[in-house]
Amino acid sequence: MAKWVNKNIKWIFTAPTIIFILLCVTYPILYTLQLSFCEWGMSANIPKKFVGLQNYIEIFSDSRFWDAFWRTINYTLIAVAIETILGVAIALLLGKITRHTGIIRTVFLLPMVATPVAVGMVWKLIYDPTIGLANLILRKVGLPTSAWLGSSDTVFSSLIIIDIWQWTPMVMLMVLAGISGLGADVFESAKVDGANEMQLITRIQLPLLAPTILMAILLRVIDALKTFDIIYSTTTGGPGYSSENLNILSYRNAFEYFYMGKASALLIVFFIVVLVVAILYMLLKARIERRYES
Amino acid sequence: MKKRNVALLTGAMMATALSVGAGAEDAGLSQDYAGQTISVVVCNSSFMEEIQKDIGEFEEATGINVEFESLQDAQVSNKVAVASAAGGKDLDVFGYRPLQESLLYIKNGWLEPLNTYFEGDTAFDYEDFFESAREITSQDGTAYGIPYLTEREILYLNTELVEKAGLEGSPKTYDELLEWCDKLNDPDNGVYALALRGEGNAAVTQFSGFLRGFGGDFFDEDRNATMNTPEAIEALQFYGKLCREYCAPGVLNMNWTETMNLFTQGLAAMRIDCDSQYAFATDPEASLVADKVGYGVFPEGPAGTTPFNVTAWALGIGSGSEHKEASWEFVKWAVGKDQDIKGLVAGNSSARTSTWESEEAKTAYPEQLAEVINESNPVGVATDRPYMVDGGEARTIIGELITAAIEGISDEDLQAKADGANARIQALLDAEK
Repeated sequence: MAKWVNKNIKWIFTAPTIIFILLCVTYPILYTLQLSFCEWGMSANIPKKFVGLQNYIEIFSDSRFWDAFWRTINYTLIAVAIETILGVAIALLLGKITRHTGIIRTVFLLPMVATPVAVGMVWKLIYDPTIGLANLILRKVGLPTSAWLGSSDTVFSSLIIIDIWQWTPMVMLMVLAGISGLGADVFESAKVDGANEMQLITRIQLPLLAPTILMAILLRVIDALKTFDIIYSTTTGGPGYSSENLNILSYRNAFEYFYMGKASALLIVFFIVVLVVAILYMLLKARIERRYES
Repeated sequence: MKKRNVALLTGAMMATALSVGAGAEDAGLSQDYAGQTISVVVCNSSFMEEIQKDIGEFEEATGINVEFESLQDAQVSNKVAVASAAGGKDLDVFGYRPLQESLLYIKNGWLEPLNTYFEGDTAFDYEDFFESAREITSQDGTAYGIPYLTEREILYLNTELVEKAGLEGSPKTYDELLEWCDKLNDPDNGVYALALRGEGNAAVTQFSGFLRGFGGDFFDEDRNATMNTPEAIEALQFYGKLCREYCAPGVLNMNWTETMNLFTQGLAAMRIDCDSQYAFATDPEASLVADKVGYGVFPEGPAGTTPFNVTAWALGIGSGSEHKEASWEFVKWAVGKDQDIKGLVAGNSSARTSTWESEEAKTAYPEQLAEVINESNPVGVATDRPYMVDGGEARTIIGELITAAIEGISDEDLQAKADGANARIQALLDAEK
């Protein structure tokens, strides 16, 4: 027995993980893939019908899909870019502060730990054009008010503001952890060599932080691509389709129209998008890291 | 001494048991399913709140345990779909929207046929439900649900603002509605003439009254989609104008709760929506205008007075349920005559004739509202959305048109959009043939 355990120890230790991945990752993906080639209305008495690529053809010829596709990409690019810049800047600032750091960090953490649906509800109230805080402030300072979530022109940027508010702290926190991991000696020797503050940041701190920042970006990109709760709880994709991303579109196909096949096809397309983004990103990250290492 | 106490206690227990038994007998409830647990999923409403309050009585009378869950409408629908697709074992009784879900749920085999349960049950009295309500919950003579909530499209008025503007009664026609809107609209002071659903998908039901008022419809008797006819375009433009010019900003995101909030905060002088929500407006704890609420019949359009008069919610039993008899006991109790009257008193627009004829009904409803309901009932249209299997998607497509109309796109663009939408609805209709 002991011999058998010893011989198979690598399998025994990895078995729980493998079983988990098979059950909770591989099986759902394969099932979704299978569904994406079928037509099925979740019926108990009408079985799935194999329709080949029809769901995919329907998706790709639908302008609603392409709108949602580009909206997802744009949302991710804009939100993550701003979050990274802000997050790194705040982290660099906070890195300088030595007192009350616990309190300050906790305050910055709050948006991140709040329940997304509750965040959505609160922002819906803030954005309310009639009684909301946002317009109240604009009125007080004499600026023209906005319809915020209530107009297809402004809903996209309003949602990005929520995303930035909620997720900048995550980037900040990761970078801050990176900063505290840097030794003081490099900076001191640079100062001895006559480097000024700006040079310290751009030539030393940022390059050293690059791996951390890149990891933060990757996590944020994947999260932002699959944003669902905030949009669902504030606009459910509206007005019209103007804030509908791929996730919301899939959800509506599945649970509003009961087109499980089409919704699955959408998710497969979405899965591939995330996969491609992640791979491209990994390649890019490796290149950047090599550059800084050499 | 001790013996006497025991005897007294036993006597008391027997009396309790007997009295419980008697109560159960009155309602025709059975103890046969004692010990079973059923799950009930419904949409939150004044009626369901009342039922939740009284659920202990049911559990005591039958010995059945009830796991009661009250959710938002879309969540109920999701839960039913997901649970049913997985076999429906853990779903016993659920609420559903007959106009939107009957055809689909029946087609998918998610609903248990109910005739055998209520046939011959004179206490339950199935015939007591409105004929239109029974029809919409049945297919080919088989009943799949028990209707419990009906609603009509009516006009809510803030009587204080109306009086201040020198107006009286309620607007009777679309032209008068516009005149009233002009007089009541006061955006500089944060008061808007009208509160109307502008969130495309949600707005479809309220739009239906105007669509029919202009002589249009979603599709004709031969199931030809008619969302691009001149009548439909006119209705879209009219609805768009109302929302754009007389409603509070952000109207494009408003469902009934948002418009109700505006009305109860005194920020909207008029509101068009379902009568079934009146209790929210007259609740002194939640509404600033609780004592200033007036009611009016939906105004008359060029083609007549055409508010909807629909069965909004029904209770069904899941076909995959393992406790169907116990579930029926619950349905029988929840929408039985006694409980239904309690619901009415709590603010529910019942689907039972006897409830409306009861003594309680005379005092439960505000007098003016009761008049409006009685006037709306005979002229009401039985559907408020495209009644078809793929009603969900058709509703989104029409919602898209309403959004465009509210945003104020040009007449040519609206026509082009309507042509496109009509073709898509036609494709859905054709697929069902």
